[in-house]
Amino acid sequence: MKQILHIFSKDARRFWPEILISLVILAAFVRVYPVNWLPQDAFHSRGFLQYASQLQILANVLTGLAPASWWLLIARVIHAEVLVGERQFWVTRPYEWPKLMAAKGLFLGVFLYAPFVAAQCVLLGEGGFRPWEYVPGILFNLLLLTGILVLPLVALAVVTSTLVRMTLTILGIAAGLGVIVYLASLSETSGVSAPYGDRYSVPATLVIGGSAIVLMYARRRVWFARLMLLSLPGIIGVVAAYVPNGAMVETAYPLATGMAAVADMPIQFAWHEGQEDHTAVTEDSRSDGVEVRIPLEATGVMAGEAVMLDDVMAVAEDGHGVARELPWRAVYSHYYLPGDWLTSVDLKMKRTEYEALKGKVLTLKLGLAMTEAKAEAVTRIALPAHDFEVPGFGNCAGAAGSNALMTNLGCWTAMHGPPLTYVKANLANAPCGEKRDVPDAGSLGGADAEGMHATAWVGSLENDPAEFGMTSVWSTQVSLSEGSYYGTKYLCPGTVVSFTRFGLVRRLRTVVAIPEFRIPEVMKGVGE
Amino acid sequence: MVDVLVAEGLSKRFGGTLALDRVSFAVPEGAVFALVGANGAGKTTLIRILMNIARPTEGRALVLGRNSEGLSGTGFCDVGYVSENQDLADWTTVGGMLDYFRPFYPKWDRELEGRLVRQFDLPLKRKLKHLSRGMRMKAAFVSSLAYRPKLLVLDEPLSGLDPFVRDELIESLREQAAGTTVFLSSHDLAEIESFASHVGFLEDGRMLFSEPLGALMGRFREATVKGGARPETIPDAWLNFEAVEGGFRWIHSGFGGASSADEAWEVFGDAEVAFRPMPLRSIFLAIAKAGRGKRRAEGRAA
Repeated sequence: MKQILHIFSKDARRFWPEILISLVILAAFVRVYPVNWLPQDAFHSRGFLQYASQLQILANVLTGLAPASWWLLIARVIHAEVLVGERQFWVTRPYEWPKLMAAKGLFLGVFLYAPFVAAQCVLLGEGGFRPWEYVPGILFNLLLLTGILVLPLVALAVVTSTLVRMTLTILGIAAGLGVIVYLASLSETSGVSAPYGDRYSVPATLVIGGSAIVLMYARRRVWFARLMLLSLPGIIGVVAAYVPNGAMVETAYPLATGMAAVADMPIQFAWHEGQEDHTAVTEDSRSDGVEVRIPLEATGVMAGEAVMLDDVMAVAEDGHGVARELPWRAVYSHYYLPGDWLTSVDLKMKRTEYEALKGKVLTLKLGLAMTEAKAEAVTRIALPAHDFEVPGFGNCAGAAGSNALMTNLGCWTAMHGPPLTYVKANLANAPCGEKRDVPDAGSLGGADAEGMHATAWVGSLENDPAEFGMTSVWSTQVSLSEGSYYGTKYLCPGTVVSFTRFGLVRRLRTVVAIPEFRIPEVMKGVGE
Repeated sequence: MVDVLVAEGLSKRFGGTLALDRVSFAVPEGAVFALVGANGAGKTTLIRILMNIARPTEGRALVLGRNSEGLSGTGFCDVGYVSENQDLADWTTVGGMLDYFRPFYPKWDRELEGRLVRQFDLPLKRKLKHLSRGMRMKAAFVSSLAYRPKLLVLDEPLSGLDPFVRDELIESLREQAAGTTVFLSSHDLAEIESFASHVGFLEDGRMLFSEPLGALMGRFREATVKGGARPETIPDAWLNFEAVEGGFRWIHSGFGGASSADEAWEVFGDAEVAFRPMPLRSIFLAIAKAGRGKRRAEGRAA
């Protein structure tokens, strides 16, 4: 322990400028970042209302600068006892490698993790949350910080000899990742919303990166450690290749088979004759393909439940038994409550595929991956002028202080985005204070009077204790929409807003078969 | 006497280059072992292996009875290492460096440290990066002598230093040598001769010999003979045999007193033979020349 503290105190004395820089940046970040969620009146009371937009830019800059200052701190402290090379003074001194490694860990604990935790707590306090209630979330964010940022930086530092070499390595990796992301964007299979899609990258980084670090401190096997680190993206890539998006979706969303399972479906999607007229094909100029919009009827959602359509795929078979498969891809904002819904799904296909299938009589089998959710709690609040708490959701700005648009609610939540929530309110036709009619929001799924019924879906069913981020407070705009684009609507104090929080019931998959389906001609002038 | 350093068949290969070729030697406790050889002979590579900075391709070395590949951590409490190729803690002052190293060594002798600092006239408050090369080497010496190591390994400690600094360092080494085994590499033969007790000669990665300096000096003689005819075969121990005015000259690498004279008379008949002692420098020049001649002959034969 004595040696650990001795090395630690040497590093602390030596790198006080780097420590100071990172602490100043973090303090500035904590001071400025609440601009992202605090209502305007809070800024007014702080005396810098007129700088709100500049502060938002500064907050974003500081969000990037803080990790950059940590990168500098990590590089400097690891390279103080550089592990690469044969000239370093310390390798022939009585340094014990576990203690050297522990000293570096202690340094990062004191000057990186502790300030980060403090920043998280201060931000939670600023957001009106009690930090001690979010200890698991803070610890989980620390774990993610380690796996995503700190450990990779430490691993790069231990296999490089100077800050310049480490920087060049990082730039090389960034360029490589850029190429990979670009290539992935060209793939039509990219972008499914399957949960648990990437649950191995952070553990793989922790295991392989951690092993490389220990190996370097214990044995200074530079090339072996470098090969280990180089293998990391390879391993992740191979796993991704062998666990394609389709497999991820099909694993996360079990297929409902058998009469009982089909009968137990939380929603029924159906295609009805006569809907061909509503089938539309538009050109997708970005990918030189087309989008085929297929109308469906959605029914059968039980009261108190909701169903989200997450991913869709299709298999088109012609009369000769030739099948073409359109891979799984995410669809967004497909929420279904009790009632009968006319909906649609969009299938993307290449121009050549479209030309091959156009006009043929096809049997189209739509694969639909969906999530069943159940209403767990409903909170109704008459919109106050001041900030208010929505239990189980987060905090929101009051009507007087809202810096959002007139029909938006500015809300903020602790450690991650809000849980999946259905928000309802009735908007006024006239500006607040004038004579207006503001009916109550009513019950879930019910119809309300005056045609001013506005709703919004926010949040997700992810239930991790925290989402990775510099901040511990996440801002959310609840954009209430009432389906009409005519006239300005107003969300006024006193309006009853209901928040219905949903919890996950299950994920499942079904197939809707559409016989004798014909893909129509492209609609000209649409989608360009 | 216990051997403090032992090398057994050490080889080191860098790609296609064999830097060390089955090097074996032993350094007894209390010895001042001078490893000599030309630039590129493999001296620094050998020392890096001994200090576990590099790993051997084959063979092993024992340092204070411990395999060099396991030499780390507290193992260095009894080993001092000073090298012209080693970085120092440049960010700090001389005093800061000594303050930093002191707690690592249970046997650190503050009195000795103070004495060495005064002897070397080291400026404690000056940063190491602002010191001259000689001063830096002195600071490195103090930081490696102050804990009275059992083994002191020095890689070219005197090269590039002015004579005054060299004398100071050699003097401190002489004082330290009483309780410490010293292993140093150098190509400055005149200085080594003044204080080394053992010597090893490394050439092209091979240890040509390793023995006490007295024995080496005793078995090498410059021999001259007046008259006589050139012999048909030259004994293996005669190096660099050449004709000179009125006779022949060679280096006898196995001088045995009267027996060597008898051997010469057997070859040359009743000729006048003289043997003169050689300084270390001349011995190594002769060995190096003989080695080059041998390689040329092997090359011609091939």
